[in-house]
Amino acid sequence: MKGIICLTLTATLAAALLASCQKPPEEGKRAETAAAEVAEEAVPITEVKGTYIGNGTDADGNAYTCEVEIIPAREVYWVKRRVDDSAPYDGIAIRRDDTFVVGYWDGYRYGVVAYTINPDGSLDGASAQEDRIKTGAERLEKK
Amino acid sequence: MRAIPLCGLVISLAFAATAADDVAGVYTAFGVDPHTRQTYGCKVEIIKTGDVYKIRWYFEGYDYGGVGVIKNGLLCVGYAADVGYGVAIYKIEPDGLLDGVFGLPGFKEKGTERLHKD
Repeated sequence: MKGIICLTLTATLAAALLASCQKPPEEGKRAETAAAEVAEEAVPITEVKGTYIGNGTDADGNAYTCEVEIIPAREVYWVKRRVDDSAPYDGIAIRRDDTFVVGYWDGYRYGVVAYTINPDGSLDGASAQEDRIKTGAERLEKK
Repeated sequence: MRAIPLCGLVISLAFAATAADDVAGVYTAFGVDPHTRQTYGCKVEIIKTGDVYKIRWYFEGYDYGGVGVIKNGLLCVGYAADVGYGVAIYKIEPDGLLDGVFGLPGFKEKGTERLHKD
């Protein structure tokens, strides 16, 4: 009789220990979510700093080549653009997630180029200038 | 049954297109200057012209202009002001609010600006 009681107590204790090791379904889900969030945060942000070469088509349909240097400056970026063989001019840029936007003055007019930052580091942009009503397109790749 | 999610997708795409088109209008703006860290207010007018957006900020006694495109659901703007050119990005919120950040040459900090449709 004592043996049966002892065996029953041991089995109950073992069951209780096992139950304490298993997480409730909700807690398990929370842990999975937290792990997924950590994994998401761990994805490296594509760095945009550097020198790029590229080509584009302006609002009038004219093709051009360009070289663009992007320099981080705390919360913003300094940008130097040279289009074809013209004199270089400056721009300023800010980033929001995977969108990188440059505002510039080319000596004649202001404009904007809004890029998507691709995972491979290339930039695909849409451009607009103050005196045009159509957009252009520009693609940059790291030099 | 499969038509329901497809219908939802069509509605979502239609809503996204409408939201982008609805960016045009007159707004009351409140912002924080990145240089002085002081708050300011102004009126902003956004007009769609062809494929681009023409933006104009009206302050007391002066105004300045910008040009923008929509990319990745954001209104992306280059502009010229009294201190030179600049750049701004506005997130287009579902309720029509434009939640923006901007940069000015010579300053390494961003400013913020929120545009409420009148």
